[in-house]
Amino acid sequence: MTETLLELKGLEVTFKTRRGVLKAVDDLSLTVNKGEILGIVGESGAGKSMTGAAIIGLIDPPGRVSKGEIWFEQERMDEHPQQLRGKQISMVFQDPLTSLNPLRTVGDQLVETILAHMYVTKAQARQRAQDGLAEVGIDPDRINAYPHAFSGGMRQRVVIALALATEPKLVIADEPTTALDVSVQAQVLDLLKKLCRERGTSVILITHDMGVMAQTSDRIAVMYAGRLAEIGDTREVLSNPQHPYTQGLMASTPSVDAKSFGSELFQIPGAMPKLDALPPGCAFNPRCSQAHERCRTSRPPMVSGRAACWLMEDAS
Amino acid sequence: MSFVVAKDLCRTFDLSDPWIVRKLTMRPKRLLQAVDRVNFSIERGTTYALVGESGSGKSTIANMVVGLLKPSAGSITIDGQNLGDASMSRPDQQRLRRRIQMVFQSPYASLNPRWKVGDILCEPMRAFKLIEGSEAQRRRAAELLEQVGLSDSDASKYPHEFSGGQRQRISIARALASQPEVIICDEPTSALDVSVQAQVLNLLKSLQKEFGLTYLFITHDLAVVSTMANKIGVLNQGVLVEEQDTEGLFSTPREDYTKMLISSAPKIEFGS
Repeated sequence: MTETLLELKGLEVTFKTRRGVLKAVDDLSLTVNKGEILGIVGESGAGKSMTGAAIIGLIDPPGRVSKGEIWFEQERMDEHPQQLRGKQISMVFQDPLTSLNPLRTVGDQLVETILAHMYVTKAQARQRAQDGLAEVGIDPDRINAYPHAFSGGMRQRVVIALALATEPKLVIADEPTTALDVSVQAQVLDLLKKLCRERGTSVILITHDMGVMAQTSDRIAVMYAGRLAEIGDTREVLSNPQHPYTQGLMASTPSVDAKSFGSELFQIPGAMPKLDALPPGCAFNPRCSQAHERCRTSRPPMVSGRAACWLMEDAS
Repeated sequence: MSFVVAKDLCRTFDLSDPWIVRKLTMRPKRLLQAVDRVNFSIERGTTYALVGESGSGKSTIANMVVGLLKPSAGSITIDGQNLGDASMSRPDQQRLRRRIQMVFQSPYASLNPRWKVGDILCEPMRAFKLIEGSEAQRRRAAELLEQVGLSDSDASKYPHEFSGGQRQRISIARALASQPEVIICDEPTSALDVSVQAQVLNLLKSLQKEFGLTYLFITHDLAVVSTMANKIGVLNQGVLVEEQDTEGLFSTPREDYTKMLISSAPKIEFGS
C-alpha cells in the first residue's frame, strides 16, 4: 500500500564557476512514499541541502537543476516548483532565528502564509493560526508576540506550525535541530514526527547526525560528494551498512555510554574531496580501505537498489 | 593536591541598562549569575569534562580558567599557584599563563585569515620568548605541524586553504606551541563533521598520552564526553549539579537533570 509521493529521477544540480562546472548533486534517484520520513544524511558538502532546495525550487543562480526530473504525485513539477511550494511542499530551515521575520508577530506570519495558499477569510486564517500554535504546544494567546520573545526551541516550534499551516503533503526539514540543545532537540523531533504521522505528511529530514536519523526516520539515504551512497530501511542501513562509507560513518560516531571510554574511535582517513577535484570512479575510493582497481576507474551503479559500491556487486 | 583546582568559582555579568536610564525608570541593576560557587579539581594528565546546555555557564568557566575573564569570587589554582593572585609579578603571571592554552570552538573564527600558518604557530613562541631566532622558530613550527598530522610545507599557506578539521589541527598545534600543561578545549569538534570529529578526538587523545597533558573539555555532546573524559561535571544554570567519573555518570546518574540529558541524547539503537 506504499504510494509514491515524490520521485527524483537522475537529478543533477550544477554550479558554473571559474574552475568549471561543479556537480553539487550528481545523478540522484530516490523516492519518498506517502506518510514516510526519509532521512538524508551526509557530511557538509555532500549535497543534501542542495537536494532539498532543488525539490522546492530554491536554488540560487549560478546553481541550477541541469538534468533529471522531479515527479510529485505522478506529475512533473521541476518546471514549475512555485505552484507547489508553500502549499503542497513546505520547508523547515536550520536556524529559526533567521527564518522568521523579526519585525512581524508570529501571528502575522502564520496568517500571511495561510491566506497566500488557502481560500479562507482573515478571521478563519487567524483561527487556524491559533490552532496551529496550540498544536505545537505554544499558548495560542501568544499569537501577537514577536519572534524575539520566544526561545530557540519555541521558535522552531513556530516554524513547524508555519510549515504545517497549509496542510502540505511533504515537509522538507533541513537540519531542523542543529541550532538547539539536546533536550530541546528531542522535543522538537518528537513533535515533528508526531504531527506528520497524524496527518500522513511525508517528511524529508536532512541532517548530519546519525543519532537523530536513527530515532526519527523510516528510511535513510546516505549521500557522499553529491552522490547517493546507500539507501534503505533505517534499521537495515544502520545495523547492517553495505557501503564502506556508511560503515565508517557508523564506526566513527561516538556512542553515549560508559563502555566507550578509553577506546580509540574509528576514523576514516582523509576528508571528503572537493567537488572540483573528484577522483575518477567511485568518489569514496581514496578513503576506502577495500578499494580495488575497478573502484578507481569506473563509477559503481546502485546495486539491488541499496548501495552504490562495486564490492557489493562483486559479492552478489 | 590536584593540578587544577577551582574553588567557589563565581561570575556575575552586569546586564543593567545605562545609569541614566536606570535612574529615570527607577529600575534596579540587573545582574546575571552565570557561574555560581563551582568547585572542581583536575588531576595531572587526566581529562575533566564540563557538560551542560547553552547558557549553563560552561564557556564562562573555560574563559576564567584560561584567564580571559576574571572570576567575581573564588579562585583558580594551577599547580599550587593562584591564577588571580594580584601580588604575583608580571613575569611570573606570564610564566603561569604559558602553561595554560585554549582550543576554541570554531576553527574558522579563531585563526587570523591574514596570517600564514607558520606565523600563527610562531607567535606564542615569540610572545613567551621560548625560542629565539626565526630559523629555530620555523623548525619548531614544522615539528608542531607534523605532530598534529599536517606537513611542514603547510606553514607557508593561509588558513583558508585548509578544511575545518585541518584548521582545528592548526589550532591544536598553536596551543601546543607554548609547551602547555593544561589545554582547555571549548567545544573543539562541534563545528566538524563526524568522520573528522573522530580524527580530531583521536589526535587529542594521543597528544595527551605523549605529553602528559591535562584537558578541561567543554562540550554539550555527551557522546564526545563519554569517549574523552575521566571525570565529568554536569552544569545547569551556573551550578555544578553532579560530578562523577565517566563510568558512574552513565551507569548510575544521580540527578534528574543528568538523567534527562542522557536520555535525550540521540542514540543509534533500536528499542525492541
